[in-house]
Amino acid sequence: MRQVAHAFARTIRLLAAPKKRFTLPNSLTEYALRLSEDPAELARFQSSPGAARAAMDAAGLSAEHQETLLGGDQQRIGAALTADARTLVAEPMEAKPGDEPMEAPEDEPLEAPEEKPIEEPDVHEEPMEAKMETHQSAILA
Amino acid sequence: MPGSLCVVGTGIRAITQTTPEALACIESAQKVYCVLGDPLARHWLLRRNPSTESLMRFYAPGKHRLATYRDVVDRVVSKVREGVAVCMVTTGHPGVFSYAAHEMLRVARSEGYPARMLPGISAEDCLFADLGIDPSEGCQSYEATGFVVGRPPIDRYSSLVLWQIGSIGEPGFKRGRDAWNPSGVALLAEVLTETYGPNHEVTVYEAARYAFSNPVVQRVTLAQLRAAPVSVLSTLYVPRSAPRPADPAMAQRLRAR
Repeated sequence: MRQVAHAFARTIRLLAAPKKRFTLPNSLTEYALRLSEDPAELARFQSSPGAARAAMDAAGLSAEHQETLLGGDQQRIGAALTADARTLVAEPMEAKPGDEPMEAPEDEPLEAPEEKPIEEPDVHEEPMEAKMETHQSAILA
Repeated sequence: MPGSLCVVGTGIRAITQTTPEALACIESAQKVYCVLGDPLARHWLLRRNPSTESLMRFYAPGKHRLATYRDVVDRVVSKVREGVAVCMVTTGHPGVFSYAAHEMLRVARSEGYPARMLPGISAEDCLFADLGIDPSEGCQSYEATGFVVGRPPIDRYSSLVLWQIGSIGEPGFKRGRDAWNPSGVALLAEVLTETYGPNHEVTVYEAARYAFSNPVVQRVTLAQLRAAPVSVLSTLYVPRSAPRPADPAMAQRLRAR
């Protein structure tokens, strides 16, 4: 009986443990990710400006962001994404069953699971090619 | 448990150009480090593996890039030494224009750790596709500062690809996308004009970084190049000036076989 209570307490703690994830459902970043990961969404976006606007309206994008994406100018898009990254914050996200193992092995300590390292967005960075070549640097060293 | 290192590239268009084997490596790693300039790519990577940590903080205005690369190598290899399966992620092809990637592999292997690199899609691959170039006709490829300073012999019958024309002569790091050294572009134009003449048409190219954006393709003459919009992402494509003439004697010998 005590073991059952022990396991139940552990499960409750695991479920209640705050999990951090960058979430902002209507952000430019989220929509850009969807375009990149979902070929059907990209095809819809590229089929016509009207279809693209309808999809972006449904995604909750601002008029400014819609214009930026429709323009296809990657310098503007990159700048907008950098600005959007400043709005992305680590927010507690409700744990859902299945997200993490519900029950740890009995020999594990009872402490809440260790937080996975979550990186803060590099909001100070400008979009640029970040290759790490050496030829040029060595020549000029 | 011994540590290990796998170095992968996201391609230029992260997400859509990341190969399945690179993605598998990213997702299975215990620790992911990245040097990615694009915020969307970093965000995506973080979702694929929450252990992701950007090493872009090692770049700083005024800091020599070689020092930055050493910091990157030290950080990655020290994690491997801790017994961690590490995946290092760069833009494009991880072995193209990436001293740090090669160096961390060399160091890890010299210390007995399993280390490998997986190929990715480079800016040059995108250039061939977007500009319709087949390098089989001959193609020279140089980093622009090395080209200007080293003055390698130019083969006019081959096409010529010059990388990083926006940062010629700049050993450090600056923020922003505009060319870091416009006078370097003018110097490059001067060097190329000696071989091709001022009216030779070249292409200032920037691969599309997103599935939903366009590549930058600016065609200008060499006389116009110094005033062309060049960014730190720009690559210069110089087409050959004439088809390569055949050697009649060699052709005859082949026919006689």
